[in-house]
Amino acid sequence: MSEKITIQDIIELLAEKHNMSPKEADIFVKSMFELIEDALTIEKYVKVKGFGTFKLMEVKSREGVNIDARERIEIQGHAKISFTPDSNMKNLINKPFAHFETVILNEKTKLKDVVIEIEGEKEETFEDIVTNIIEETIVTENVASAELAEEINSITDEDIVIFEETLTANKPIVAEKLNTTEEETLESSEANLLSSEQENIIKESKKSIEDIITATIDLTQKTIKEEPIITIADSARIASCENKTLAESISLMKSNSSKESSTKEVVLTNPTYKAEKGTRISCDISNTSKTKVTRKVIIVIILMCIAGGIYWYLQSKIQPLIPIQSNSLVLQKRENSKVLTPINDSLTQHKDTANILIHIPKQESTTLSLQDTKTINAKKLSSIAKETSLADTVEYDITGTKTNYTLQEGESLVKLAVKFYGTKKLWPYIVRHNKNIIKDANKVPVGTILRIPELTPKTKES
Amino acid sequence: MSNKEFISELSRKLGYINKDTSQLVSSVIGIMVQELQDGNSVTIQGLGTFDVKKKLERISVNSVTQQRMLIPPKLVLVYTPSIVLKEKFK
Repeated sequence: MSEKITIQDIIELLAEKHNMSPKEADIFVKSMFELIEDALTIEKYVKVKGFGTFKLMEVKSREGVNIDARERIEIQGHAKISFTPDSNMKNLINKPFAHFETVILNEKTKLKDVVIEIEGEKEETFEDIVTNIIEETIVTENVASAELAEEINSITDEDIVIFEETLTANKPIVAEKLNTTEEETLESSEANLLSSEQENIIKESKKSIEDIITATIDLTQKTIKEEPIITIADSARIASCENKTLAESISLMKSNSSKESSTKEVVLTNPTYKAEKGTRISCDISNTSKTKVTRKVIIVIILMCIAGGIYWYLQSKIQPLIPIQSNSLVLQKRENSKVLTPINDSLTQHKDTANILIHIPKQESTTLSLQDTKTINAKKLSSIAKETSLADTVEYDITGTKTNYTLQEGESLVKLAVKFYGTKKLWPYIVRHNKNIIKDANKVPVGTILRIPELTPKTKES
Repeated sequence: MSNKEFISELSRKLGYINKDTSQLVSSVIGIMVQELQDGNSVTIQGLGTFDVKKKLERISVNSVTQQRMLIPPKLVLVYTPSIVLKEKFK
């Protein structure tokens, strides 16, 4: 292969083939190529059948530039030998690649890559959402406990769910901050519980709708009573993490008091939770040793659970599910606080001192929380009533397009619904109005132009 | 010079009959093709080198219809004239 064959080899092969003497063959081959050369000089054109055509091509004189001297020089016109192989020859040479054929390419051949790029962008946006949530939680962290309570009053049911999600997201951050403090045991147990909390949320959410409806009637009252206590406890914890000042002791006492109250309530609630508690305590004790290793894993699991929760929330448009979710969270949080007390020695010490020092504030806080619960109770009920009248119970007709809107980065259909209708629950109408444009309601790419429908409530007669 | 003229000229020079000459010429070409197909390059002193080169596949666009065509790879016979011959025609 890739050897250099000379005229000598050809002569030998020819002599072998035709039983010629080497001398004769030598004369023949040499004279043959000499004739080609001579014929080229004389006629400037030689055609050999089965081989090809030799031609002398005239190259006209042209101007060039001498690179070294940078002078213009004239390149003399000369003859150039060109060789065009015979078609037969061409085919024989190209035999190994003969089976290839020219293919007409489709215009859409390269679109696959583009699709992949878009998918990548979508993933990024999802990550952005997660980061946004984390940022929000940081913001909420900074808000004082009292402000938080007020906010909860004004926020609707959905917001509470989201808020609780953010709170759960908060906790890892809080836990990180706590690293610097002495209360390491507390964080570890908290972090461990968070994962179990999330699992429980999913479990609860999977209950059938009928059960949920019946449960909601019973549980909504409980949640309304219990929620503010826990939120205060959480906020107190956050505050305690951030401020090591006098406020710390007060907040801790608050949390302790709330924990005590909550533990009492836990005793009253279902015995099944007690059993779960027992198992969890044992788990937590075993886990505390591995916390440093498992923390990263737990954070990942929490993020996944949040993502799952968001997805599930978008999937289930049924309103009764939302309070139940909050319920479950609240119940688990109560368990949290209960579990925390036996594990954390430092906390219990604090608790004792707090109990001794300030008995009165504790009572005050409990009474305050009770008052809060009442107000929240009323407000929440009213808000629920409003929501139902706005969203699901009343159906809307799409009567034409309000405006066209280009989806910006960081915006969702829910945000659009809030922007244009003031309520989140009307986003399916936007989807319905943009059936052709929106392929997947959960993933709408940035920059899509959406038609915002004009909604008018359906009359009961129709 | 056509093929016919070439054969008759060659047979006149060597004293062969046309039929034998054409047969011998075709067999010489056949040997050369065989060698080229095996991937060898054929160098003939005084004339030049015959070599097989691979041309890669490419996409060509029909300027009229804007149709894109994928041209497959192919093997081509390339002739490089010898320096002696080049100088002769300069």
